[in-house]
Amino acid sequence: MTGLVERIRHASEATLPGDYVRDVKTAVIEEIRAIDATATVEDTTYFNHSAIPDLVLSWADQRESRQLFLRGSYAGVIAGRDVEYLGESRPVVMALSDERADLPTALRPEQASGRRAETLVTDSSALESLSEEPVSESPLAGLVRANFLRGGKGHIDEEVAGGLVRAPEFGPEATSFVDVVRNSFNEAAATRIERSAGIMDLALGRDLSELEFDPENPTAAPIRGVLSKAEIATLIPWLLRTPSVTQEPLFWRYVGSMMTFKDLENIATDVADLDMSALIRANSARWVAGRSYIGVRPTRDAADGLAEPLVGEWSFRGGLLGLDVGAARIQLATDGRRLKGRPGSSSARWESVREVLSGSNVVGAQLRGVTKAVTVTANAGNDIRDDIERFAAGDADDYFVDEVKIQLPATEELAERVVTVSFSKAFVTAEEASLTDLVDATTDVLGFRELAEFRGAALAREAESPQ
Amino acid sequence: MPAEETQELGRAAVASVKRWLEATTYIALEWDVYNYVQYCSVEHLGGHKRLDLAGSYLTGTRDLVYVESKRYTTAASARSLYGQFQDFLAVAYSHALFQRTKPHPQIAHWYWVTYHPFELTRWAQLESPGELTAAVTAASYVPDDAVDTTLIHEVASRITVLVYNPKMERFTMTPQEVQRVLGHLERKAVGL
Repeated sequence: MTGLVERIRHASEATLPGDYVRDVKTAVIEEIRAIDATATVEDTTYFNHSAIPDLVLSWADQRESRQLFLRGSYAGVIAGRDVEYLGESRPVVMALSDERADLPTALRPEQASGRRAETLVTDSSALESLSEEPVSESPLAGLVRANFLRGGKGHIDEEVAGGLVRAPEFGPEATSFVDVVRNSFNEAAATRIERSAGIMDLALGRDLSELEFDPENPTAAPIRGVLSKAEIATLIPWLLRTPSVTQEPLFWRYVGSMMTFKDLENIATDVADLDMSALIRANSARWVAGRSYIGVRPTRDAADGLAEPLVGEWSFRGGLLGLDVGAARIQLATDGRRLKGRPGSSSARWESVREVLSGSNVVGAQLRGVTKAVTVTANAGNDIRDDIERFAAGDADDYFVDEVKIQLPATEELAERVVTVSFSKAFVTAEEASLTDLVDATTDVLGFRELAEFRGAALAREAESPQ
Repeated sequence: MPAEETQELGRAAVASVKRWLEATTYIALEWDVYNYVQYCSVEHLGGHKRLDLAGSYLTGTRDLVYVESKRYTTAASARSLYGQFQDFLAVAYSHALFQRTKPHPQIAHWYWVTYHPFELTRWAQLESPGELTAAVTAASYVPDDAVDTTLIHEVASRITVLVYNPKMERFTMTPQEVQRVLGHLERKAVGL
């Protein structure tokens, strides 16, 4: 693809000013999207106005948007005293010309006070250098790129931008890199990048003991908070792909504590076919979802003659998280838009499910006979297995169970909740249940026929630690 | 004063005039001669003329606007302005004549913004049809038979002479205020 600088140069050959504006804005918007796919770009339809920005950038997970002013050159930025006049809204001021220039000291954002110091003055060459193929495999380079327009500050020309995207992967250089980041990004963006550097450091073997909660010193934990979309999109795939990353559940629980299962679903295509087991097992008791489904395991090419393991790895396929189990695949999703049921699946006879429900607190059931359909609901969460039993045994009709509702006791992470096992649709639903709840109900109840041998296998949980 | 420094001062002066005019919320001056000479150059019967700023009104039919900024600080230096002003007037008329040859003629508005008043004895007449006629008659590139009274009046009504004192920026809306106000005024015609 032609670079931004060349596209702008080409646009200036337009005879009609309107064509120039259209071509330049299209090129800049495409460049922005290449750097930060999470940004929404609005065209104000103004161009080079002294007060109205050309573009307004916004992000779903950030309240404040950022204005972007296009200027013909650095000389134009200087003549217009843009940092002084526009800096109050901490905008991005971008020179379209690739002509390099030093800003006079008095006009540099870092010399300005208050919010003006967070103005980013940059140019088309710098933006182009950020969108080029990454020099560094480090997710920090990806985060620099993704945070550039969102949180960049000061004067960042091509040289500075180039230095930022050559981010080191880890080690002492990464520490000094964080200092560079502090000078080029606002507090929020620098914190995001620094947090990622910290997570990478832990992932690659730093002592994990600081992740242990110390009641004596509760604030000593590493940076937490909520990972931004950009962090999730760059850091998580890297953690999953890098072989030397620790498999310690403690680490993966820490990562999982800063995101949700839905966040993970949103990057499903970026992590397709990667082994998610460490991340899923470490967070399955806390992460919530709404659906679990038993599908038929897709047959694979067994040309290599190796037998596939009975239980595979947690992985995303076709945008859905799943686990191959025997001849089936259990799939999980936050909602029904991602995971639809399978109408026409067979209901179960009461005699068959009676046993698998032993020990469960059944609070509702839908039974269907030849002549009648009955819904049994418990008041105040009482177990109704005996009522169903009496009803099914005392009636001449032959009853099938379409669905049962099971109430689960409160855990450390979740309050009491109900999962609905639908035999007729082959899925388990819940308003809010943990991945563990859904997988256990799927294996132990819904899959009582096809997954009988995995009953009680706790497929989504961490293996018991050998203590 | 070194030429480079003079140019920088000129640039800053033009930028200041641009801010001031755009803060009226009626005008957008997208083009300046330093970065976009191709769009600040007007074609007229005598060839091409570069203006400092070019753009359009935000309202109505979004007529073209050309601005010439003159940053003189002394009466002596301002004295030479009159000749340049006459040339400016002749170009404005010549541009209108040239536009008439086009299928969709656009008669522009012309702003002469000076940092120092000049030609005070004629000051009240500078925008008049008589002043424009005199300037046009003196311009070699406008044929005598092309001086049309109706067009002279039309162009003269679109000539504006402004005296600019940079201190006026103190009483001008800040960019933040312009943003807030423009959002409510909806000056910009939809679809244009």
